[in-house]
Amino acid sequence: MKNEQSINVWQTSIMLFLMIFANKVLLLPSLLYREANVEGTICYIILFLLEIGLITLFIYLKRKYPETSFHELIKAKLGTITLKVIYILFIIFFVCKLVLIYNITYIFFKDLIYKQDNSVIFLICFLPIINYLSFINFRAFGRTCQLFFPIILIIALFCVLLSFISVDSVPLLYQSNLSDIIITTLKHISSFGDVIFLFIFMDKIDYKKGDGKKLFSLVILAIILVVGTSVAFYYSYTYTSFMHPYAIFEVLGNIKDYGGLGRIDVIAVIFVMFLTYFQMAIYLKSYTKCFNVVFTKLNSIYALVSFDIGFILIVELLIRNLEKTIAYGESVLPYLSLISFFIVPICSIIFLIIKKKQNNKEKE
Amino acid sequence: MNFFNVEKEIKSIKDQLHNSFDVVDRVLNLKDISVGFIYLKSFTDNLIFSTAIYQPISSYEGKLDFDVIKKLVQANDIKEIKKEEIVDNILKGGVVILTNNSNKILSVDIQKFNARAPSEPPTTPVIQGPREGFTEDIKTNIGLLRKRFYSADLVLKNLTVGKRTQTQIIIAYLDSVVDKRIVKEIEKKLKKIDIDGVVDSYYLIPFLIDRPNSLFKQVGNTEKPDIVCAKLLEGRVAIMVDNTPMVLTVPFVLLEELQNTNDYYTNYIYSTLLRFVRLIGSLFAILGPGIYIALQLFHYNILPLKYLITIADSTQQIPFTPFIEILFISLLFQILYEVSLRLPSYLGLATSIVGALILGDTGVKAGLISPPAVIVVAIAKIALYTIPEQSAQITVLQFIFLLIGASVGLLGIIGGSIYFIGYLNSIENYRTPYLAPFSPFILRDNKDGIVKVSLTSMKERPLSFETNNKRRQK
Repeated sequence: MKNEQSINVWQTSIMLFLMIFANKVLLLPSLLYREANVEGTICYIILFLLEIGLITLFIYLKRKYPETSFHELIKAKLGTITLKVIYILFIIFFVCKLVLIYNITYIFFKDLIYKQDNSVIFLICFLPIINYLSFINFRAFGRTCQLFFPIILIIALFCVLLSFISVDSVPLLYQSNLSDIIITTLKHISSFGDVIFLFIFMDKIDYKKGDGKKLFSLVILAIILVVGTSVAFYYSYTYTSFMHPYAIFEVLGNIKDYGGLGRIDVIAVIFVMFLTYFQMAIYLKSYTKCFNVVFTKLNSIYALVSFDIGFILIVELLIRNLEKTIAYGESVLPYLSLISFFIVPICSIIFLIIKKKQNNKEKE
Repeated sequence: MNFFNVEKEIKSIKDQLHNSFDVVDRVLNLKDISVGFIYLKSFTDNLIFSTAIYQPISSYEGKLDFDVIKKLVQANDIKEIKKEEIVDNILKGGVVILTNNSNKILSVDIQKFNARAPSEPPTTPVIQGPREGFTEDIKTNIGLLRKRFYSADLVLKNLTVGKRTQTQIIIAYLDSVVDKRIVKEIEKKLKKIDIDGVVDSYYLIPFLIDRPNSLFKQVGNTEKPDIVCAKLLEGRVAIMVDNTPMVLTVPFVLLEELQNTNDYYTNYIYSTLLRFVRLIGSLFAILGPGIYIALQLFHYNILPLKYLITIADSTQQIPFTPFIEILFISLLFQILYEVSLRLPSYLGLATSIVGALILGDTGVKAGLISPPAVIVVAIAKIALYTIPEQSAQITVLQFIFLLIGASVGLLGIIGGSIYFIGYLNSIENYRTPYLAPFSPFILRDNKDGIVKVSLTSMKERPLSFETNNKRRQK
């Protein structure tokens, strides 16, 4: 039976597009260049392959268990305690990701368009909106992403295509060795794995046979655009890429006052604003869902209130500058990314094996 | 068998009507029969009463009984009623006739009041196309609808709502097209209403929707029979209420506000252009002042230098903050608007001139307001009327975004836009998404979305809401 609050495959792929794009075109290209030079692009490709693997795994799981949620599967196959442990890890993961995204965008906006260090403005902007978006039903949220998608896509295409205008040299490849690339990849693994929300909302996604192509079409487009941005960035700034922290903004910054329209790089700022709202909302929605799985007797209001209090304390007390944020992203979060790239795949593979055995038994 | 004592019965009826001054009773005492008449003189046609009812009976020379009286009355709408229905029939403009040799009661509908003739409604003027509009008389309105459907497919269901007003309500739909679940749902909702009175169709709206406290309009309303006709053909349901020219239509989607009657009576390419203009106009009306204030207060560094210098030049002498300045101009406009609505037209014009020219121009010259602020607010206020039906909602949103822009800048404006779109997406009445066909995106319905295609290409009915018959033409 079709879930009344479910979203269709196009809406799912739009969310995937937003999540894949989200925090990968701002700080990451510069950080990757710092450690892996131009081969930072290879790190991108490796990590995107891992994300594609996760999406493929999700599709397999959805085919085998079309109506079941991920937490029901864990509960049924691995027990309640395992479920609680995994979902508590999910909660920590989502909160940490939210803190990271918030900090990156806060520093970005504060430095570039607000010119004032007043975190209250940012908390007032973000918290009510993402709270509301995670409170409304999943279908309404999916439709909201769908309505804004054409605007976001046009801006993304505009930014990426225009960024190639500022390319003035082609840097040499093979500046870093394989170990540099692997270490950098692992160090920045926390910026990936965003597609994990698919598993959290597995039962609320309508998936029919053959929908895989639709799902992958926007994923591939997003990957091309992200890699395109990083390539344009490296080719624009070549050996000084590490000195320019905000990639998508910087590449457009080279073509300031285009046709007397003013600063074109403002478009990148608006783009980042949209992406941040949606990415934070998806994470908070995932957090709320996990909270409800762990604390079955508490409703979403408790989840949101607890998040808001914890979030304000963390961002206000612990991390307020770029260095701390980068350190936080490179030290704490990579371990938590094991949830995306280790625990979820292992669980999924276990479920698929169990299903296969069941099918074989039935055949016998 | 117990027959009526006419005089005693009439007295009892008059008592039930609290002996109102307009209750008229006549007793005709003939040879072998007494005939009693009772009606409201303010609500019945006295001439018809005399010529078609009273005279034929009083001048009849044969033996009178109830059946003969029934034949003598020269009116179309004659019916036999029960005793408990007497008061109700009198109140609806009927003449009740009683005799002392029968226990049957006759009601003759000769209701009369001065209804205005169908004319072009002031709310939806058209350049081309029909100019007829609904009136306050539900019978006239039914006639206007009936003459557009010479088909038995048009179903009109009658209901009465309002304990004291007993207002007649008609639910109209096309039997072979509409999804019957929607009709049942509407009937159920209307029958559940327990209210003193229904003065206008607007009174029903909160009962027909799931979110009555929302700012946004969720039920369509029009004064034009051709629009109702088109909506019925799409598979919607119309609700007509007596004493009001406003007819409601459901299910309703926001896109309907972007569509205008003129779009359907003119070239479709031109209509598409106009719809884009309306969309841009309404977006500017909502976001324009907010973005202007956000740029001025928070993000002046992203403005092109020439523009920044112009603004700086014109605002440096202004004693107020940019927010107060914009708020002042906006409120001034709103005051002028309210005044011009309520004043007679000749005074309204004078007020507009005083407001727009004298106050605006003098304000700028006196250095109280800056020209860019006046321009932004003026454009936003004019753009507000690109979709006049939504002007109330757009005005509220304009003030909300002005406040957001002044408080938190561009980030807040984008957040606010996402919030409102999220909110609109969560509205669903009669299983119809409010923002369809944009989200969810329904390609086929976008043939009459922002882009309008030729009528020959619109072969199907909308998919945004459920219908029984999807095909419009082959």
